[in-house]
Amino acid sequence: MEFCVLALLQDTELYGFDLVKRLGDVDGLVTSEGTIYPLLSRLRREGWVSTTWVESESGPPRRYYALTPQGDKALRGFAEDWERFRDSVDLLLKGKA
Amino acid sequence: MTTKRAQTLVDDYLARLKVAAAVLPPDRRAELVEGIAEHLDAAQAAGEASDEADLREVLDRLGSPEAIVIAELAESGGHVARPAPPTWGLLEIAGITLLALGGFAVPVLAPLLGMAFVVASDRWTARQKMVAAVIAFLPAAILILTWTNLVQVLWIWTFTGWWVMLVMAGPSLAAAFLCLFRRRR
Repeated sequence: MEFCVLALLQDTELYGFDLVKRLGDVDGLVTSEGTIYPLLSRLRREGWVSTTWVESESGPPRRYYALTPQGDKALRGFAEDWERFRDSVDLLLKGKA
Repeated sequence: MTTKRAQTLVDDYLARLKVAAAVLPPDRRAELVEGIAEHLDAAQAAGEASDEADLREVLDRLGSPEAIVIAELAESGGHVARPAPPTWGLLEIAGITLLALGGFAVPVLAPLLGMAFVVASDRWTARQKMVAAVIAFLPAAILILTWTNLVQVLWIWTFTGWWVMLVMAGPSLAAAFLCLFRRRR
């Protein structure tokens, strides 16, 4: 799940609501959108995402999340592992291994 | 929108979240509640909660406040806020100091003031305060009550040194007692 968050942030900054909504729209990924916020908080503490406050017109300032270089590195590492894993599973499923 | 009903729904949800989040350390709690409040505000600003049914769906998708707090506990390694240990405030320090040392400067009166501070504090139980009061003032009370009795006076006279010591030391002993025994949280 944390890498899905990092993946959404790889090209753009998002504020919490947008990020959570996009994750929630992916079928079968999130059952309780609210639990993304604790995850975001941990990713921030680990230095994988950074936050900036942006004033909003309607209410409290919004927190925008962005990928840090460290987070980017973690995401690339995960993507490589994931591809390798996916290819291996695909081979097994097709009965070619 | 923000009809009254909708605002009540949001307020109730945030109130439930705050109650559930009471187990979290203050900084985690503040960040979590802010994040969810921001989310609800953004949903309303984006027109995704334009009527009560829509707002209910937004809240449904968020999940129960309790589930969110459990997720936070899992993410932060299950660090639960511990209740603050009993601390020594001005009231307690003044009370103990007057009891322990005041008797040597202004016998009886200074310890009485100290005892009043101790009684006013919530760091001790009623029983602990009672025991301390007895230790502190029983010797003085006996001395005062028996002073008028001539027969007793003659008897006490031979032990007066001891009594004066007890009268002086009673409050100090009470202070020691109060330092050893206090309300545990």
